[in-house]
Amino acid sequence: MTTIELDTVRKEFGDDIVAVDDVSLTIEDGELVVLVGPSGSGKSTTLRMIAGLEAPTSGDVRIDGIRVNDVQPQNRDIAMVFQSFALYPHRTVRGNISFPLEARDVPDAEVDGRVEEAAAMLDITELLDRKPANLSGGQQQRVALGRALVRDPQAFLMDEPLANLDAKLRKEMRTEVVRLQQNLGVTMVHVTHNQEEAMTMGDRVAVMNEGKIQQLAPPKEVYQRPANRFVAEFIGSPSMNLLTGSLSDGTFHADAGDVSVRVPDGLADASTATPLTLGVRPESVQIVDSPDEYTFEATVDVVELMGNVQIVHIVLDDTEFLAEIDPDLAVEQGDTLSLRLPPEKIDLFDGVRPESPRIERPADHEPSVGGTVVTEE
Amino acid sequence: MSVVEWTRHRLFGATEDPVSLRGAFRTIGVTSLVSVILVTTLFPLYWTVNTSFKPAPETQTFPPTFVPETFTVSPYVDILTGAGSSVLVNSVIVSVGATAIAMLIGVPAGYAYARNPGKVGGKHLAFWILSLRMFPPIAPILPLFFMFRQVGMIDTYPTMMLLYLTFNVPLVVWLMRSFFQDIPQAVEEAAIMDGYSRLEAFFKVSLPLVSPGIVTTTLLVWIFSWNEFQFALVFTRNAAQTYPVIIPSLVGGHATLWNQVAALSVLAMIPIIVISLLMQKRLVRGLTLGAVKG
Repeated sequence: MTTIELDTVRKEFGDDIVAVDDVSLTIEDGELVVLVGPSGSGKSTTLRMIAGLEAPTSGDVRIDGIRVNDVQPQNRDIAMVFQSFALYPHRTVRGNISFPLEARDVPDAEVDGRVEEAAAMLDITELLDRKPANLSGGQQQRVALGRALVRDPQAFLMDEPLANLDAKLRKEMRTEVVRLQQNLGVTMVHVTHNQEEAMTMGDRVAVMNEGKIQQLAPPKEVYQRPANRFVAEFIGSPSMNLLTGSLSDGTFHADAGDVSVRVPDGLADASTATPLTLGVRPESVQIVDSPDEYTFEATVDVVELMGNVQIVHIVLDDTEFLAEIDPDLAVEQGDTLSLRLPPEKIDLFDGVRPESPRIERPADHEPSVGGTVVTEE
Repeated sequence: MSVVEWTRHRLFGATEDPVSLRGAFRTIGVTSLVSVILVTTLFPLYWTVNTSFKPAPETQTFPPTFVPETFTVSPYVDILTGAGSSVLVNSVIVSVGATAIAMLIGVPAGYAYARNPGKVGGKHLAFWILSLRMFPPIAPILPLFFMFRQVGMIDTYPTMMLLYLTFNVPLVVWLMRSFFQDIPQAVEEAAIMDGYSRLEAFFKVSLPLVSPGIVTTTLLVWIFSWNEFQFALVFTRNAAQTYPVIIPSLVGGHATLWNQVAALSVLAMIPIIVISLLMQKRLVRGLTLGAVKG
């Protein structure tokens, strides 16, 4: 039973750098929460404050309801896996995995058994007598995981542990980490800058930017109902199309290109800011034969065939606009297409800044994401 | 096979194409250069060993003899029964003591500077420590002499050990600082997360990882202390006299006992050569390879 609680935690470096700006976050027992954001968003610093490697400037860190601000990291009973793996090069794999047990004066006989068990779980038994320098990146990663799980900690902290692996291995280890976490039923906080990793791994995803949590929600909700323009752009690949412009009589006029499309009344009525942002995901854009009030015309710049889809690039002055369409549609560079933005898929953001909030759609158009909705306090 | 043919075969191999010819000339060039360097550096060493086994009259003959005509170990016996043995013992005590103190002070200081750059002792202390090595050692000798005389500490072991700190501590601090910098902080943090205190992490992880650096630094500091002349000349009389001081005293007005000078020099060289050979493997850096990926 381990919950981790951050209560308006703030971290300043020097006089003018605010790395983490009053973050509040509760991680439930057995939950895998992913902190995701661009570099410098404060996600690693947040993790290091949970670990105790950094002290908060203000605010409280609580583990199981107990304030641990003054508890040394070695006494928090939390395991951490580092981006660089940080193995001990002078010790064998066995020596690396047994290291945390030696700190706890576990009897020698038991140490051997537990090391073997952890090694078997990670399929590295045959590597136990090697030195880290003689291991591949993936093997080093497994040793680092083994060192973390051998002592059965209260929680796992993962500081971009997959970032140094190549793409194929990263996907494999991603699955493996999730499987381990579910089998052990342990609380885990995973930090990454990779939105795909966040979407696939997390029970909940905390999207961070500039030291603040922008949205804390299950992956599906983050994707379908992004809290603001930043989350909409950061989550999803390819990114959501974002057009800045203004509304008049329920029609959105983009600043770039010759784009004028109707938006649902409910959305238009709720907007307060001018200019504002219209967002639509590339996979929602439709190519139609008969133009209507939801379409605009544009010329194809580049077509990329990805196998299961093809991505059509359109240049609207200085803005790139993408449409992900059926690979069987014959579309070529230079074609003029009618692109339809389905009203139930259009998002409006009330402003043009990253933190400009998404305007809630009328109830009948709001996607159902299931489960409870958790937003930032 | 004639000599000419043999040489050509050795130099050019079977073919005489321009590429291997160029290669051959390069080999000749490099070999000649290395030979010149070897001869100029090793000849004095050879001459010292040669002289140390000659009786005193043979050191004065002209032309000099390139191997002793009368081989004798009496220079060694004479110097060791004379002043030689006590100054060598003094040298061992002073150099080992000075090295130990310098390492005890310098290693933790180097660690502190590596982990908290710009924070330990303000911005300038680290540079000030380095600057201690910049002035010539002769400069502070006079004031130091009066200071030590005032407290009655001329010609003692502790005096010499303290004096040698002036040039050894800066060296240790700066060398160890860079050795510690090569060890990623994440490895220490991993140890802390694994349940060790900061101090335990230092002793169980950082220190073993810099052991090649410690060996190198210790050796360097010890050699400096072993060979030091100026401080020893001014601050010792008899009780703490080290071997470098005794050598010029053998150069007399009427006769110089070159064979004994050479014998003492050979004796002083032996520990340096032996230790360097023994430590050669450990001097190689690279134990930290594999600590961190990428």
